[in-house]
Amino acid sequence: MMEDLVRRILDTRGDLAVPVAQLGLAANLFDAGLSSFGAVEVMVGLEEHFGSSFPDRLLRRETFSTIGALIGAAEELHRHSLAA
Amino acid sequence: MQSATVAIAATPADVFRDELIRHGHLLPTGVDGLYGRGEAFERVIAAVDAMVGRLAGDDRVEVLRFPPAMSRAGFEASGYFRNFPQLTAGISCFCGDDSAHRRALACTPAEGGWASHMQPADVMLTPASCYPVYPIVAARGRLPVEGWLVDSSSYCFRREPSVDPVRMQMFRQREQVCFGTPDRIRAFQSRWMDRAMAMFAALHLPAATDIANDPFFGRAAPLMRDGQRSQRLKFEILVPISDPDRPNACGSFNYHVTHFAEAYGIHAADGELAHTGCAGFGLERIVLALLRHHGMDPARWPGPVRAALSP
Repeated sequence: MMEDLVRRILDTRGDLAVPVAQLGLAANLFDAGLSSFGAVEVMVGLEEHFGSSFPDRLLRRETFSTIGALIGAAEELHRHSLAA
Repeated sequence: MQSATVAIAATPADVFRDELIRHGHLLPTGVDGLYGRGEAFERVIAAVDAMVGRLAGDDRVEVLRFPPAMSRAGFEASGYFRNFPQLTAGISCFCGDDSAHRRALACTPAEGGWASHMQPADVMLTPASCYPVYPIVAARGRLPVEGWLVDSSSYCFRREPSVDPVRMQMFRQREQVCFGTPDRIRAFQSRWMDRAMAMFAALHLPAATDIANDPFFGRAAPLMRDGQRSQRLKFEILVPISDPDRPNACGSFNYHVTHFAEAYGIHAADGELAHTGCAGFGLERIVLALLRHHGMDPARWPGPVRAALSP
């Protein structure tokens, strides 16, 4: 399930100051301690999982700002990986 | 038989560099972006440097000056290599004995030459004059309640060779570095932008402010750029210099949030992570802007400009 995947990558690659399980889909991840470096690590983690690169238009702070937004991006990467 | 000639149009940067060299302001070294400076150029550098100092007014500031190199440990902590590997440069040294020395001297260019026998040292070239400040302030322990203010300066190095004299590999920065609360840093950033705009007006230079981003490397760059811009962390003051259509940053006003405080362990009086910001001026760029806009002979610049530089 995509939410589980996003939460797992946030947990292993991100640098949140609080446990990811405590964060709802709409909680702001940057407020929860995610740094720019951490966001880049999450990006790389998702790309490695799907074997597909983030399109430039998704490489925005907003994409990494909530778990909900990351699920949307992950679904798009998933579609790209199926189409490739 | 007629020989064909191909006319290659000189760029504005080519023309400006030739003019600077012809007037003895810059002395070519054979490496793009690395120049000697002539006497008149250096006199104006000193005047601009002093003018930036006067802008600080009655600020209670600690003055620190640095050589153009810093410790590798201090450099690594900053995260600079992670974000800007393309601009990074370190110092290499020879660490061998007599026989290693002979092998290095005998090493042909095809084999890598003598330089391939050098080892990375524990010293890096300083990328921005504020970088050596953070470990020093961190080592002192918690900040005073009111925060702290440092006036730093050094030659800096960024590996970006260019024919454009405005983009030097080695240049001087004069930076104010502020430590404190978010409100203090935002007020500092705004105050120094106002001061800088007043300085450029006094120098009769056409300056404009804009939101900016650093030249991040690689695939992460769009994300890092968007983060910096959407949070309004970096502003620049731009002046057209080599190319009228492509103004260059002569001043940079940055809010680092807690990036450097986390990297170096800088804490406020209450134990919380400190916030930091810096306001930097590229001294060579300001002098190049003056030469571009007022002519190659500083003695013939408009009276008000000369008066502003040497009150």
